[in-house]
Amino acid sequence: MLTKTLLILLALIGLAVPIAAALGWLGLILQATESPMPLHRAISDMAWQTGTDFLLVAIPMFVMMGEILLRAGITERMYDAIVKWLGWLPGGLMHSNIGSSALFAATSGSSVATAATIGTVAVPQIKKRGYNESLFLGTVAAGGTLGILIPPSINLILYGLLTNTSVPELYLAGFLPGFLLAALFMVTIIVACLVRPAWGGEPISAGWPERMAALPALLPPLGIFMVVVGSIYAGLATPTEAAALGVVASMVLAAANGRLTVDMMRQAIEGTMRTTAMIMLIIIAAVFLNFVLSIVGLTQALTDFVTGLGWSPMQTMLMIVAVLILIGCFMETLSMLLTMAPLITPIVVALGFDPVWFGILLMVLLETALITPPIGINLYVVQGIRKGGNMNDVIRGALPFVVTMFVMLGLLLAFPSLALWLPSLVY
Amino acid sequence: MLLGAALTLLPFQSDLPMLERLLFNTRRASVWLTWLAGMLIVGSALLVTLEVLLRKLFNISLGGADEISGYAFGVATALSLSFALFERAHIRVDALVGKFPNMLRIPVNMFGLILLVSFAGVVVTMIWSMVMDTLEFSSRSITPLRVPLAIPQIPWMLGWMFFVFSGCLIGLVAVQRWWRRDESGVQDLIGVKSLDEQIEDETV
Repeated sequence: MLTKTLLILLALIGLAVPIAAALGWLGLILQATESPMPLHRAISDMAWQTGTDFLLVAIPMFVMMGEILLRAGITERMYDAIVKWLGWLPGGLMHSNIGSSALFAATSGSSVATAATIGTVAVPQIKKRGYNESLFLGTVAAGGTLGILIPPSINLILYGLLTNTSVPELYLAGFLPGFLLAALFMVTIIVACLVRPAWGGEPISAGWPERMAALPALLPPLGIFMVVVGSIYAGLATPTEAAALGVVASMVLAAANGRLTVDMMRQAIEGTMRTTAMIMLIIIAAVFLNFVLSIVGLTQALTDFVTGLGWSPMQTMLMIVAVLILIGCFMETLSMLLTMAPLITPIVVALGFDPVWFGILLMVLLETALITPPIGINLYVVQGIRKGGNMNDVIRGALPFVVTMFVMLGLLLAFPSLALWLPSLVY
Repeated sequence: MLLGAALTLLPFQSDLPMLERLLFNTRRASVWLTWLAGMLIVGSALLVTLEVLLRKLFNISLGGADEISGYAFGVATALSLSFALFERAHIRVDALVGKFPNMLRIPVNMFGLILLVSFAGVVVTMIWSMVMDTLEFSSRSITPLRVPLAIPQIPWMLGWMFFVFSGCLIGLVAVQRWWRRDESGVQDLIGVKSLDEQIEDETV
C-alpha cells in the first residue's frame, strides 16, 4: 500500500497535474481501493471547516499585507538605507541584499516576491560596482528564502494547522534561527570576500550623519514588523488578528506615501486572491488526503516501518533530513510542506523529538529547496531578472549558501534550544 | 494587469464564436468576483482590527469578529477559485513534462485540467448535499451569534460551482482551439505558466 501510494503520487506530480488535484485524487483513489467507508462524503465538511478556519484567515491577510507593501514604494529607499549601514563590510552591497531580503521577507512572506523585488533593485549594481556576478546573484537567491522562517511566515501557519502545533509558539521558535541564518549568510559573504577580495566590488563608505539620515527609510518596514510580530509575541493578538493589523497598517503606510489608489488596491487584491485560492485548494485537498491516509492506516504503517528499522532517533532524523534535502531538489516548496509535514511529523514525534523544533528544521529544509538545482524557484527568479547569461552562474553563486544552510541544519540538530529556548520562556 | 492587457487584445468580442464569447464574459465575471472577494478580506481586516483595538484600549468586546471573518474568508476563497484557474495560478511541477515534445504537451495539460475540475466536481457534489441539509434543518452556527449557516454557505457553494463551470468551459474552448490548430491559444488557457509570467505576477 505504501509503495502504491508513493507511485501514484509521483506519477501524478510528474505529469504536471496541479498539486491540489494530485493530492485530492490520491485521496479518492485510496479511499476507493483501501477503505470500506465512503470517506469522500466528509470532503464538503472539511472544505467548510478548513475554509472558514479563523487561523487560516491569516493567509489572505498576510499575503495582502505583502502585496500592499510591495506597492507602497518603500523597497528602494529601504535598500539604499541598508546599504549605508552594511556597505562597509567586505562584500558591500551583498550584505544589503541579505539584510533587505530579511526585512522585506519578514513583511512579505513570499520568497518569489522577495527575490524578485530585491533582485530588481540590486542586480544593476553588479556591473556598476564590479562585483563577482555569480556570488552576488547567489546572495539575492539565498536572501529571498529567509521569508519562510522569519515570522510572520505563512508556511509556519500551514505546518501548525497540519500538525496541531501552536502557531505563536512556532513564531517564537523561528525568530532566533531566522535571524541567525541571515547572520550566517553574511559571514559566508565575508569569508568569501576575505579569501578573494576581488569578488567584493567597490567598497562603499557612508558616514554616521548619512546613516542617521537614512534611518527614517527603515522605519516603515520595521514598524510593520513590530506591529505584526510584536503584537503576537506580546500576547496582544493572535496571528490572524496581527495579520489584520498588518493589513490596516500597510494601507495607512501606502496612504502616507500617496500610493493608496483604487488601481493599486485592485492589483493587490488580484494578487492576494490568486495566491489565496491556489493555496486553499491545495490545503483542502491535503486535509482530505491526510484524513484518508490516517483512516486507512497508512500514516501509522509508515511510522511503524521507520521506527521498526531499529535505528537510533538521531540516525533516523539524519536520514529524514537527507531524504528531504533530496526531495527538495525536485519538488516545489509549498507542495513539499503540505505532503511531507503530516506524514513525517508523527514519525518524528514518535521518536521523541519536539514538533515545534521539527517545524523550524523543516522550514530550513524548505529554504534549502528554494535554491537547490534542478528545481529551485529562486534560482530561476534571479536568472529571470538578470535576462541573459548562463543559469549555472546563479547555481554556482547559490552553492556557498546551500552549504551555510547545511551548517544551520547541523546547528539545529546539535542545539535544539536554538529554536526552543524562546518559546520555553513564554510557554 | 496581465489580464487587462489580454482583454484589450481581443478587439471585437461580438465577432468571436459563441464559446469564445462565453469564455470572455466568464473570465470577466471571475475578475469582478475576485474584486468582491478582496473587499471581503479588506472588510474582515478592518473588522478584526476594530475588535482588537476596542478590546485592548476600552475593554469592549464586539464578539463574533472571528466567526464573521471566517465566513468572509471561506466565501472570498470560493469566489476567487475561478479567477485563479483563469490565471493558471495552480501549482504544477513541470520538471519532467517541460522536457516533453510539443505534441504531447497539450494532452498533458488537458489531463491536468480534467483531474483538477473533476476533483472540484466531487467536492461540489458533496457541498450540494451539505447545503441542502443546512437548508432542510435551517442549521445555525453553534456560537453566540447563531448565524443561519445558509447565509455564508450558499455564496460559498455558488463560488465552487462557478469554478467547476469555468473549468469545463476552459476545457471546451481549449479543445476547440486545439482543433483549429491554435496551439498558443491552448497554451494561454491551460499551459504551465512561464517563469517570466510568474515574475510579472509577483512584482510591480
